Amino acid sequence: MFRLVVHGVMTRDSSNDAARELIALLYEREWASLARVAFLLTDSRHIAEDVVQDAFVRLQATRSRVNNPAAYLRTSVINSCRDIHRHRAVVARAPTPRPEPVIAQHDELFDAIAALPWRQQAALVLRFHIDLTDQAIATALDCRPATVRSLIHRGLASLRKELS
Amino acid sequence: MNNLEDRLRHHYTDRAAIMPTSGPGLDDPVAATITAGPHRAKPRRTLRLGIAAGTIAAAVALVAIAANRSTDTNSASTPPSPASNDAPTTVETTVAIPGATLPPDPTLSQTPVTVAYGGPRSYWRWLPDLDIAEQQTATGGTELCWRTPTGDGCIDDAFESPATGIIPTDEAAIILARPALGQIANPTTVTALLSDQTTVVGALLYDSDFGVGYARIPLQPGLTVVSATSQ
Repeated sequence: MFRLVVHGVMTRDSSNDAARELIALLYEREWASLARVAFLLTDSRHIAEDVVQDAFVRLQATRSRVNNPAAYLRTSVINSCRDIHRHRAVVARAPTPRPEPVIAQHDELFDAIAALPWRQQAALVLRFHIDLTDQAIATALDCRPATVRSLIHRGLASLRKELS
Repeated sequence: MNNLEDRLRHHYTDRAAIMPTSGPGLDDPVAATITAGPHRAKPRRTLRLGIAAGTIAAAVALVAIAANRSTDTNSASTPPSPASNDAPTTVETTVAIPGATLPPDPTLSQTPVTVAYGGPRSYWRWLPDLDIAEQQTATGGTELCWRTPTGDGCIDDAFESPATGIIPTDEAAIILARPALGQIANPTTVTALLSDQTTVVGALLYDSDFGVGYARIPLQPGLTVVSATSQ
């Protein structure tokens, strides 16, 4: 598993060279992990890559202090994936929905996961794919650690029920 | 170890294996074009969404009009106005495009992209009267450049709620908004202060492929939006 290990502080006073160096380091270390999380939450390689690139663009564009750029990126990716889920829900309700491209073969576990509420899906990916702590997941989802434990517990329970 | 948890780990690992192990090289010229939107937009899809958005906006507008008619003039719909307690306030929803639209342009990009500093802009048609292009700045940030039937310009792309981006267009202003860092819920409305000191509240729409919400504020001739905040 790939854990998020890059920490740093970006401020508006950071020199361009230092900021570029940190961005480059983050890009090298975090891109693959973030892209995989985004893929697992969007089921589209192209969208996942776009989401991650957008997160880096946002990080580079931000003018405010960012104490933990890796966490900033992760939150940005999660939020973008959430927006895409909302967008798809709107499209699915339209009279002429456009089918999304199917990237990979789906199995019963895939279908069971896809039926979970969005926050449960996100919590499961962050826990069981990149092994984040409750606190880190709580930061990414903007909730309390206890809520994270509840999301994971309920998500697993629903999967067990669906798969049994 | 729980079997289901193990199965989940394997499932995620197997599925994510489709993704490359690294992004485009930062020094690769191809990487100079960074996609800025979470989706790869297709014009026809955007058009359908625009039509859907217009339908929704019309419905919301009817509700707002009905609400105004059901109250007396002194207590007419007056959302919180940070600008002035005495200034008249009206509620505007996103409405049909009141002015001119942009002509067809074969050079438009199919996706919203951010180009490197100094490179040619790559415009993407977000709305019938608004093309946008993002580009890096000399200082390492990004700016959002816009093109409407009435002109063009660039604004800082660092706006996050409550800050907004204001784009003037023909007989209207388009207010852009996105959630602040750590804010889960998107802002839903913008409050705009006009040059005649009236305050207008507009509903934000997010069903574009750009990841930023927008509200269209119709303007009478001679009026401009002085400032706007999102909530």
